[in-house]
Amino acid sequence: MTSSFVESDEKTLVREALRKAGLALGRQELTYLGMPEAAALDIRILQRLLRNVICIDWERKKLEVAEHNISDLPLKVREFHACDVWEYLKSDYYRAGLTADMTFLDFLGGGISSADTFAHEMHALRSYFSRQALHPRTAFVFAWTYMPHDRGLQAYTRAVENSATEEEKKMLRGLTGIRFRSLAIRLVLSRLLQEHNMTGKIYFHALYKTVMSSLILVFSKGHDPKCTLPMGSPESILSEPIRAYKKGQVVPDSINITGT
Amino acid sequence: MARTKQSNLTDDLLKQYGFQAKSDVKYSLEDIGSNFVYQLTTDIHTSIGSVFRELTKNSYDSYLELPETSRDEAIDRGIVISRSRDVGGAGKLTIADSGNGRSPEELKRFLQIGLAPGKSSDPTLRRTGFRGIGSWAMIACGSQIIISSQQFESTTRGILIINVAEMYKTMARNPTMEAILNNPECVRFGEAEHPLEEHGTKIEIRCDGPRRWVGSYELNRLYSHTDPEDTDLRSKLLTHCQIAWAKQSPYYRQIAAIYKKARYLPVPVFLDGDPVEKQIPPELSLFDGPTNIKLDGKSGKTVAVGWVAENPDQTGVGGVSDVEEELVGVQLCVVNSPIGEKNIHSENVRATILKWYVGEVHVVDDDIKPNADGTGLRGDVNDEFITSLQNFYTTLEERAEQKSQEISALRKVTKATASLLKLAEGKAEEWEVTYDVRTAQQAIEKREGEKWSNTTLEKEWKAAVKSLESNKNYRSLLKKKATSGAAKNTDGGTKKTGGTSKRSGTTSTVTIDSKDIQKLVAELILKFEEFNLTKDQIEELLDLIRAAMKSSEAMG
Repeated sequence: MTSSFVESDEKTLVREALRKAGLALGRQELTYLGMPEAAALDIRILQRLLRNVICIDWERKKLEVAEHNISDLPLKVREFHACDVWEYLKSDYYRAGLTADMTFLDFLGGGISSADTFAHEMHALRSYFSRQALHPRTAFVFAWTYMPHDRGLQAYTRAVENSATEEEKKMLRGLTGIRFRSLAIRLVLSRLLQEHNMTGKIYFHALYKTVMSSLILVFSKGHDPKCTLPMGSPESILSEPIRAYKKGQVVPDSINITGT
Repeated sequence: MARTKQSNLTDDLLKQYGFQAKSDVKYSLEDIGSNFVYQLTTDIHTSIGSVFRELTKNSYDSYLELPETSRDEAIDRGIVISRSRDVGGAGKLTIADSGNGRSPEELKRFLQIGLAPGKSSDPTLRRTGFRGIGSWAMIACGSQIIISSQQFESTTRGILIINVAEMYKTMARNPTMEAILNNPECVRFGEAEHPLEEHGTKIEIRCDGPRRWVGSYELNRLYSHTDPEDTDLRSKLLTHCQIAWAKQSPYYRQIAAIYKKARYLPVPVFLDGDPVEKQIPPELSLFDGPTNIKLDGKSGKTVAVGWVAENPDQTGVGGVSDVEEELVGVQLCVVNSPIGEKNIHSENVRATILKWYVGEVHVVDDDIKPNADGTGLRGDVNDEFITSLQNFYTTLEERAEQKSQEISALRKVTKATASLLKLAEGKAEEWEVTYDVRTAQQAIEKREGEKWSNTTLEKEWKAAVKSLESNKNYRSLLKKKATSGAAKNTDGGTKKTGGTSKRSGTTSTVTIDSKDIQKLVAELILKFEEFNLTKDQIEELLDLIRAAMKSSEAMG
């Protein structure tokens, strides 16, 4: 029953933001797709919103404990996939029986770390957004916590430059560190929204302990009348600031990632 | 005090028989053979329904152990059952609650035998478990069982792991209980700090495959029910477990008042995310309850409270109304836990008459307890209770009989009206219609001044009579002789009966031997019995046959 998860105030804050984003969808009986730790705290906090869960983790044993721990929740479908989450999104999710209303890719470390940075993740994200696009006028929550154990700035630069427009490259020029990474990720998401004529809103994007970032995007292909959040164009998600929390800081600093 | 007295008695007997006390002979787990485990799991809890009954009862009782202050709406009460199968075919079934939970030390209770179970923290609520053996019901159900539990307001969670497959392997050598219960390969305890202040118990039954035998012992008994596609489990839960009526169900308020008398706290049960609940269909609009069931003897105290719902203008509720088969009949319950099959001890009434009802009898007397597997009452239950229960059934039978007569009378009247319409359209002959009209008239006369069992039928009756009497041919046909229009019998009463009937220009000739008719009628009567028709209904049908025979004879 030991858990590898170390609960922190930051995690609690992210989960609460995720719950509120879920509430903003304005519908019930949602499907969660994520990588819960053994204690499955994400699912617990979201429980009143959820009907189904899809849990993914490399470690089957961790999934077994998570399954045991959420057995008191009256969920309809509980799927547990022992595999890499990116691989699942890339290969299995498009044909899966359930569409995730709330997706939470909660990486303790990494999240963007493959040898060919972004290639694997981009395929997975593209497949994910393609699946979501099958449901027009329905808003979804996509949350991503990442702490890049990446291969440095050049890897991002290379990845983004492979597909970025001149204007995007211009935006990235001169940025470093968290601002560069954040904008790179938002550019990726923005492009995916564009590909499917989707609108979106960065509901939450926070930086903790200088490296851990959590991003919550709410998006929709066409207007979802139930969703209470106003959404903007794919480009609009680039201009939302990041809230940076320093240790013990109650009110975060706002970082404008585009530098304007 | 009692112990000292008993000890003295045994000492006295020792002396009397000329023996010295020998105090070094003692019992331990070594004196109980491990076969006892299997007997507990399979001999007592013989059916899967009985296993689920025990599992849900344990969960239910854990809510009663919560401190009273916490037992409010803030706590989501629920017994959550979920199932899964993995790609390899292994199955898993979990049953979880958010009740009081157990401390790591108290988890031991799951494998204790016959020790006093916990207590309800609220005297207005009654526990279901009282033997301390229910947990053993689950042992043969899987190949591994994992029970984790966390007590209310505690941050420590305990775990008990039972390796049933290993336990059975060990049992092949016929060891003692000591060798099973204290073997870490069979039974293991653990504990951990848990980050949230959760509480409750989660029981995970793992089946590594279909039912199989390890030596002489069977495990994975629950395997077929670990399949989320299996629909039988819901039916088993409805039949064997404490399933409450849906709050949206008609008459829930009245039923909830009876629950209160039975000291039952409704706790919803979920199966794979969906609530399992009983629903009274709206067509069963005739509700009667609470009916106090009192002991016949001198005390006359109320020992149970009953209620029934029925369709006011129909006989039977299964098939006729949209009622799930599991709900048809009258169910005896203790703390809303079903006792035995529907209509238990109803030998005093016609076998199927209680199928006219959906209902329950809730025991409110603590001395009336179920037997271990819930298939009946304990042997020590006062016989007077069964008599009282049967009296309740008798009143239901009488009511059903009365309703049957009323429905029969109503049908006669509506049939006569329909026949009159056919006559007007030239689709029926006058002699046929005359018979129907006379039969209806007799029914009307018979019901004159009689009370009706329910207002629905009474209203329908009044409307039907009005409709009949307003028909312009009604009075005139009544005045005619019943035999008018019928030809004289030319056969002279011989065995052969021949007849020619003319209608709508067609002619048919039937020749039937009277013995054949006799045989046919006898078969029909048996069929009527099979169809559970009342005596009145049977008699009515026989009247029709007699009339048909007469007409046939009259027509030669």
